[in-house]
Amino acid sequence: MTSLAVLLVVLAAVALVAAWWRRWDGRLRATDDRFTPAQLSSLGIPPDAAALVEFTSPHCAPCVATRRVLEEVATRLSVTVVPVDIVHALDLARAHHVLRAPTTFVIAPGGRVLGRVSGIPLADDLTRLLGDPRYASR
Amino acid sequence: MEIDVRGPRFAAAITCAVLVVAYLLRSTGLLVFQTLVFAVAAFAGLRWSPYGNLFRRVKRWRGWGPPPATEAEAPLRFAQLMGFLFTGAGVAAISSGAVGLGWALVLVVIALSGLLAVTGLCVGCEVYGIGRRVIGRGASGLR
Repeated sequence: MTSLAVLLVVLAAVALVAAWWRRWDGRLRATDDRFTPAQLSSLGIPPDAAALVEFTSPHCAPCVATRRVLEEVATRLSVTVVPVDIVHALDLARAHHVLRAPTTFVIAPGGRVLGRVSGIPLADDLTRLLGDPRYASR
Repeated sequence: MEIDVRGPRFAAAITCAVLVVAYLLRSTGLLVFQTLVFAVAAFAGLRWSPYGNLFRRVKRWRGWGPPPATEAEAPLRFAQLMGFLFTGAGVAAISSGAVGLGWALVLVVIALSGLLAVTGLCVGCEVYGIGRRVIGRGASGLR
């Protein structure tokens, strides 16, 4: 009887984590983070350009799906898509607390981070964020 | 080898169900069976995974069509190895008298396989990714 109760508690915990995961994965979150001019130039991003920076890793299927979403957004808005392999940019990943691939940063001209997404983002979320006339050049 | 992303979730659902039954019946035999299933997938590769083969058969039978996406084998294989280590340690604990500890280890695998089945989140695969980055820091030539 006790063991059944323990099992039910474990399964309830799994359900809670699953619900939390569904709310978190792929959702845009606000942050007061920013990329320094040195970090922008190391990524080849001009200081006056908006950018979508995607941290990827080898063996990462959702990274490929994320890349497709970012390219789709980039065809609608003038924004640079910059994939970064975490393995080759460990310091940068640590500086921005990247725990997972894919993690995408939406960066305004000048380096302010407008939002970040862990998992596969929604194109509409990114377009809405970047569609603000202050950040899109057309 | 690229894996149909639906396969691991299908296999995790079976794993979870098998372990729940083993836990409720206190069936060491069933636990050993699941441990062997993990061992085959981890050491021989997912091509040989019993649940993976069942998935391919069901997929053909039910006409589920082409994979919506594929993923690399290595992280999944690592996750199977984690499963093997936990259930293997569970078997060892139970047979040496630490019955409570043994079934607690099984509960961990029940939770993680249940999570993968329900959400597609593979904790073992995430651990693999983090491990790669930590190792990458030490030997950046290693890819």
